[in-house]
Amino acid sequence: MKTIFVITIVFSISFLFNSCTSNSSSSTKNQSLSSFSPTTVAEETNTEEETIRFLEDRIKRDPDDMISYNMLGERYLKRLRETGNLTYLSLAEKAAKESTRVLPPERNITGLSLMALTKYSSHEFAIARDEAEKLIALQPDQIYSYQVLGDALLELGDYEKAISIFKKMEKLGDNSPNAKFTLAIRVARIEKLKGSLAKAETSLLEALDIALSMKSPSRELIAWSNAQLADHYFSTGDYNKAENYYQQALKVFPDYFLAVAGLGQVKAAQGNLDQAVKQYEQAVGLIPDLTFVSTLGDLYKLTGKEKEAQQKYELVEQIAKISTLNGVLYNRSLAVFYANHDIKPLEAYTQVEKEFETRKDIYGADALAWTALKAGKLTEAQTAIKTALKLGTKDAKIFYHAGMIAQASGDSKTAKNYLEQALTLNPQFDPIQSLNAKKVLTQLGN
Amino acid sequence: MINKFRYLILGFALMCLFALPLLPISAPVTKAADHLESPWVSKDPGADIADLYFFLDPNDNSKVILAMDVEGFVVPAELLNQCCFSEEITYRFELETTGDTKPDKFIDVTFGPHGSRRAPQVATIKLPNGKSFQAFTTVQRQPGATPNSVSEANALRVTTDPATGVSFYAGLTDDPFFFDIIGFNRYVIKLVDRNPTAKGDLTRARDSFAGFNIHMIALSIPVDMIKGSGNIIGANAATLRPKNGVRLPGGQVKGSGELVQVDRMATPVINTVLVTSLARKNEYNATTVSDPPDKFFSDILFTFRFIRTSDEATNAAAGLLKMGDYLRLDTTIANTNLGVGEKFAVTPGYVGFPNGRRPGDDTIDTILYFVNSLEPLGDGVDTNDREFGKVFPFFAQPNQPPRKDDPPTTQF
Repeated sequence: MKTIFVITIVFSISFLFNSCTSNSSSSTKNQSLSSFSPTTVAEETNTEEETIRFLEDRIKRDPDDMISYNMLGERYLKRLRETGNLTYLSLAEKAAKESTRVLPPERNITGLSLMALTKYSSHEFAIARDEAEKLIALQPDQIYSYQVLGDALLELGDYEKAISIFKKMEKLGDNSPNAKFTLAIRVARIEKLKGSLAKAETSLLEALDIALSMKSPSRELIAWSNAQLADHYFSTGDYNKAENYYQQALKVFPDYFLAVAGLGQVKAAQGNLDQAVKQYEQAVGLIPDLTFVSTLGDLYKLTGKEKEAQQKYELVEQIAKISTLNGVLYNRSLAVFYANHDIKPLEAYTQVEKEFETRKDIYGADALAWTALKAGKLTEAQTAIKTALKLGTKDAKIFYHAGMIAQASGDSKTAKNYLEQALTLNPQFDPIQSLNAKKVLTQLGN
Repeated sequence: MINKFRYLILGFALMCLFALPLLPISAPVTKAADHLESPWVSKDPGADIADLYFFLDPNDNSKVILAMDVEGFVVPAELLNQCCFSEEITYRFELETTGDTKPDKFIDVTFGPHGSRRAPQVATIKLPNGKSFQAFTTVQRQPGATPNSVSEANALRVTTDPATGVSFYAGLTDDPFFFDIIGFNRYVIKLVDRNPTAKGDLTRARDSFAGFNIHMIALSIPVDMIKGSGNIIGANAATLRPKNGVRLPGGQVKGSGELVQVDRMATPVINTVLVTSLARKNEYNATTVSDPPDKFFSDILFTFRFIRTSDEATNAAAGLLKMGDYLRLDTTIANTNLGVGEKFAVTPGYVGFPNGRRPGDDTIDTILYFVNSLEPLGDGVDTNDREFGKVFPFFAQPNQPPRKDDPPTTQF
């Protein structure tokens, strides 16, 4: 395992981003959304459906039409991102398999790319990493090969190598908006992991700027970029800015499930629980995502609707177990849900511990720490939370978990310190857990 | 850097499919997901050259047609949204007129900002004589009433500059290229494995480009304007991007710094078929047309010898590159048609590729002729799926979206 020291050194490399200096604030304020009117949104949806139908028809006529498989796979993944509907992931995987059946990956680079992407989306990060390495061997001059590899490595917790991959990606010198966007997003992510929130914000603004400057950007690209900024502002407690960017996302892409739920999160943080419930009800109606359902349950509980809350909590488990794919995708989220609600503590810990054997990212460590605490495994919790904090990430939930573990360890000073950090950074980081943090902090203060 | 021919050996099917600037990295449903789900943004689609066409106007041999197409595999349903050319890219035709390897004359086409997806862009065409003119692009305004019906609103809009006699078209067209990517790739795989059944894979006869559209830039130019002292002109297409780009408030991009080549394309065989190793292919893409042409000869010879092509055929193919990778056109050889249905070394009086390239030239069968030791061989796809136009720009109107009342189909 890499030491904190090593990681620090790696992060201290002034990597990337001379290209990321920007006039973001001004241009972002001036962002033109005129070409994304609701009419255009409706047309784009219709276009997507027609495009998918066109490509599926081609495959019906020629079951070996590799080109259409590859194009379809891309469209399915886009629909997946837009709707959250996992059916599209299954279809994309099928398209990738068919494509590489027609011609082997070494003669079908796009098929191989598609395979790597679907593996990443399916949380099969180690396979995604391996496929991406094959891609790089075949096409060492294309940024997207490095993008898949770097992202997979981040999920596996191999930060040092991920950063080296992103540096290589930058060195390719691709000056296209697409490449710059890709880089800016990765920089934001690395900076956020490092705890450099201001730099992360700059890079996210830069990414939005670039997206807006692209030739015919899709609504999803613009909405996603806005939602990323909104997420960032929420995580730093700037709820007004978060609301503004979620609203921007929804202007571009009404019913964008990430923004609908995100706005609910903001409303809850602002104390408007009724509106928060409405937002989450809408989000769950769009896609019964496990975390959306879980949060909606929490909001019902906070508004005195115990019965509805319980129904949602039961639904959470059903969602996670409805399919093997769901089980894989929601493994960690379900465990954290268990821990947050003091349900099946040992099962939650075992679940996360197993995943952590192969996926050693800091959020995995955080989940391990939190579930270990709930399972009564204090030593394991103390070890894991150190790993979660090793990069210097400023995340209210990690601070909260660190505080709770310190409290359980009898280290009141450290507990107080972490809980204060959590509540200073993002006072309403979670509808229920933030209340608990305040309660414990008050007790510690006494 | 992607062109169709790279698919030939590599099966690079489709960087062009990234016509939309995104693809994700993933994901599921998720916010839920505990990892980043970012749009996957790939490559530089606006700069990817698919093909170069270079031929005498069959209606008037005093004019030459130069056309490059970029960013292909546009699905008909997307044609209303895929209106635009990148305003950051310089689309350059490099012309060699003195019989050496260095380009002597240049035609640069650039495009202004696109205000909306339905409004045309203004193109600026800089000619070799120092003159320039501007013209609108053609954007698709509405789908046809029936698939492939031609409406007045979507007519290909040609601009002729009265001062120079140069005509210009830029916009979507049907992709004029035709061949079976899958069959050809399978053939090549078996050929390299020296599998005697290789030719059996050339019987699928499915046009991989049928039904797709592409972004076309076409010029009709008086031969005298670009000809040198000789009668043979070499042409190469390149896309270039400023080294530095600055985003202005509002998102407009203004380039600065030297232009850097992104892609190039001339003879439709060089990189994909004749240069075999991936590393060498990348190196090839990074070079300019005026780099020493013999740099890749060893790769070409190796390829042909490895697949046991005859020395005669090998030398003939390699000879195409002796003076650099240009499509060379002898302007004294009269041309009366677009090459539809004709075959190199078979059709009497054939005047097409590798003498320039006409839209109807069956370039793949010509390549196969060389690969097959100067014996005719074909992929079974002999013509484009759409009929070409009779006048400039000659390419067919873009394929239109399906009708609203077409029955929906199920997922495959």
